[in-house]
Amino acid sequence: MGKMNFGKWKEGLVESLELPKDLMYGAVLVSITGRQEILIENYRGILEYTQNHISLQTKACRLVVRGKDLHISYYTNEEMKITGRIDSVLYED
Amino acid sequence: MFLSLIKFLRGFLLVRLNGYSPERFLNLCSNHNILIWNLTNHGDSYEFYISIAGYRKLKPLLRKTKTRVVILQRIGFPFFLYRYRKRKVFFAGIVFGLGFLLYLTTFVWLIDINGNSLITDETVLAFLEEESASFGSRKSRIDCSALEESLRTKFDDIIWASVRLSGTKMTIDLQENLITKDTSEEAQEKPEGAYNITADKDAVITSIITRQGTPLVKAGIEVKQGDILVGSQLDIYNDSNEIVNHVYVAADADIYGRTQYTYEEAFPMRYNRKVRSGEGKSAYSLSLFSYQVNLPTFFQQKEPYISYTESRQLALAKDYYIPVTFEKTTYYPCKYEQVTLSKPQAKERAKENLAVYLKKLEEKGVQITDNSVMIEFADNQCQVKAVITAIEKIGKYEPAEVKQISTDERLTEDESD
Repeated sequence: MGKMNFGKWKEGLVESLELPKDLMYGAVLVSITGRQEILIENYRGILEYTQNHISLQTKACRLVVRGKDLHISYYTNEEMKITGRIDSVLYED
Repeated sequence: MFLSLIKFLRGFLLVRLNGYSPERFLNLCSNHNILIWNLTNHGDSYEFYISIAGYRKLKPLLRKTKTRVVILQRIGFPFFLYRYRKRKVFFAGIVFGLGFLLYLTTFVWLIDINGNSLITDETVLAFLEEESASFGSRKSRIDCSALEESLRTKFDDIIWASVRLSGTKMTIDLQENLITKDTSEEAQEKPEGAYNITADKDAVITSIITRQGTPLVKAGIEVKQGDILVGSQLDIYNDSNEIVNHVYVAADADIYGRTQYTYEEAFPMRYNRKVRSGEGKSAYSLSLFSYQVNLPTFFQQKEPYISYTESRQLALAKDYYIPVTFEKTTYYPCKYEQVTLSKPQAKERAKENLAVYLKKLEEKGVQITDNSVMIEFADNQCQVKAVITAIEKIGKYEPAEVKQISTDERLTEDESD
């Protein structure tokens, strides 16, 4: 109960001070260019990688990218660029 | 582009990854800041690119995750060097090429001459050739200050010279004596001994200021060439107004006289002129030292044509010129056009030419007071006659005749000066 309150309080603080949410929550940033390119920042690690399916761990949830001929152009600790034909981007708890 | 060039220079590998938990391996890589790019999945194996430095750090990660990597391809400059390590002549060639280039930079390949207007570039270049400091001479053999010195002594008109070497370029800055005539006169001045000043041309004296000597003319008097203006002889009188002795000095005076110049010019009213017609075509050529290579052209330029040539010396970097010149010659077809000048046009041209002449006179230190111009048209010709009245410094030094008078004779002179 107390934790919930703290979470609410923090949310209110971030909202009112207009702080960047990716920093405050460690939220994942996803930018998609058309259908063929997707750039993911603030992820934690790779869970699974096949040609049709990439699953990433972020702080709050898992991110699943489905598509065809997916391949990773590059990845570092902070960001990852995936190219290929993207069918869907899905958040899983 | 730039990034991939760096990647190429440092070298990278294409690697295939197999094993128990490849995802864990990939996460460990990113945690250890090992960059992996172009990762693709082929069923149960993965392929990716990794830098050489990154590959060296992989070993503990591979053991931890029970995966194995196989190198598929080696790409980059370090592998290129390794592959051709036995081709000694090839590497020798690279070294020799660089060495030769360095060797060439110890010579002068471009000479830039600034500030000369009376002395032509060719004259200076010919002089440099004599001094063995021209194109293609060793930089170490060129003594800039000695060269400056000899430039000044060889050419009287050069009053200041600076020679600089930067890269393969030699820059010569000159300062010419622009009032040549006046200063040469001044240099000629102050002779020792007995000298008269005589008129060097017909003139009417306008002013005369004598510093030394006996003035023999006054303002307003007309003199002919060769007349003595200021005498060297000074008479010494005694108390009874008799000449006791003569003293001879070098006459010194500023004498200005009104002189006349006549100017005549004739030019045809009708003449042919080349006029460009149509588009130009370009031909290129390359010259190395004194060899010229003409690049093939695919056209034959018919006569008549006007050609412009642009030449450009190639440089490795700023000021590092190499003895290769690139030339572009553009040929423009042209035709002859007959030009007939109308009378006002002809007059205009005559005036322009006269103005040039007057300017030259003024540069010589002549002050122009008046000019009367007559323009006549006859037989398709424009004839210009001008009489220019000017005031200028006249007079030159001539040795005086020294007459020794014995004091006994005591010649009495006329009462007049």
